[in-house]
Amino acid sequence: MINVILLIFEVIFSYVFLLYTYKKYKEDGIYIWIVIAFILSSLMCIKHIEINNINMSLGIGISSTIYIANNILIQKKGNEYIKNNMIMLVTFSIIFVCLLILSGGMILSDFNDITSLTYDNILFSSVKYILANIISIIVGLYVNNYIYYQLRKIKNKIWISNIMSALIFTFVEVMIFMLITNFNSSSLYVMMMSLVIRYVIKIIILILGTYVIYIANNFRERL
Amino acid sequence: MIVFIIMLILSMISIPLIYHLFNKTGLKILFILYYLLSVIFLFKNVNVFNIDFSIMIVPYVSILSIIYIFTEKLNIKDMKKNIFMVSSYILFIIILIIMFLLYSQSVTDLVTTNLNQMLSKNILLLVLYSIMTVISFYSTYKIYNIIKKSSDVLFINISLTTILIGFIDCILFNIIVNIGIIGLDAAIKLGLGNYLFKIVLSIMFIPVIYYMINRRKSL
Repeated sequence: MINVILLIFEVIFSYVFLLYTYKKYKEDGIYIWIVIAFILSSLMCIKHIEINNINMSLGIGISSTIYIANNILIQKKGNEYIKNNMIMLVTFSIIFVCLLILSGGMILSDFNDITSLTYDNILFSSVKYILANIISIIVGLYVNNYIYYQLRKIKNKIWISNIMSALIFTFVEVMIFMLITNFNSSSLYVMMMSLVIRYVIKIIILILGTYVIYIANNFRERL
Repeated sequence: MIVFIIMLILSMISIPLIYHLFNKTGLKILFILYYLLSVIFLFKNVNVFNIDFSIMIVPYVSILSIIYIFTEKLNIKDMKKNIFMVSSYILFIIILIIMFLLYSQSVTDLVTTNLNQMLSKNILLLVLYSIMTVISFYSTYKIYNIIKKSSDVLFINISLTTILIGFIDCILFNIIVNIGIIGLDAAIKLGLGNYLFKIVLSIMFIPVIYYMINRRKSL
């Protein structure tokens, strides 16, 4: 139960902070938010929690806010700025992953060697989760951008674009994440259960995010 | 050693590269990214050239280089705005780290068990590092500005600032956080290693800072 409460708090806190940065720093705040949330979710996904007796990795709450931030940008700036945003995400994730992996390849000092050994152990056991998170979010964002933008062109209703695109890209994103992290390591039943619960939680967070896009859109009119 | 050199080169290249691609916004993101990496790298001590030090020194010196660039290129109003922006993101990250620790872990996962043990053993390191960085960043900005008034030479300004601040963020910090874990002698050795590498790396970053400051394009 504590995990569910913390997850709700994490989502609310992230959305409030996203709106705060958008109001205070405009697009700059959104760009920074997307990259920072992306890196944070990649780090958080190494920890596993249990919800309803189903094992799942963390980072769901904060990674969902990336898509909402992205949709706020599409609403305001259209598709052009999103390309720049994707290049930004890829560049920063390359720097992040390279430095992280390089840190694991260095000769340990004799001082506090247990902590350093634990660090290496955690890093190499978690690389697949970090990479899975990065790949799945980048692919998910690409799919989201395309669907959201097309729906917006047909009918400029925020709730239709957001919910419809969320239903599709979340499936793609969760599928990629689960395939990379659980491939050959858990039974099909466990994998399917994790997939379903991850998908449902993400959809709920993203549907709640529709309200955040509306609020951000109102900021735009006032600013 | 080779890995360390590659890491250093990557950190040095990343500053002008990110600025070239994404302007000032990119540098702000890089600042926060290096802060996050420095927090993670706190947990690893390495041995390079027979000197022991914490690997967090590499992203830490990169952050200080970005502070020097901002100090040189921005006016006081913009600088304050940027400091406030970066600080609010760092505060957000700290709150999220606390929440990350509070989540009750899955009982079957060995990685999470190791992670929790590592974090609980070094909780003092995490807490003091957050406080130390705020003091260190602010004093670096202040002392650099004071030294700048009496000298125009970038090399002298950066070296002097690093030597002065290093007593706090390398030697004193390492003694306080490590004395209970590895003993006084080892803590002093580790602190001196950090101090030495901080000075050397800061000098190596000067060409990058010089290049960034002398670009015609304003930040």
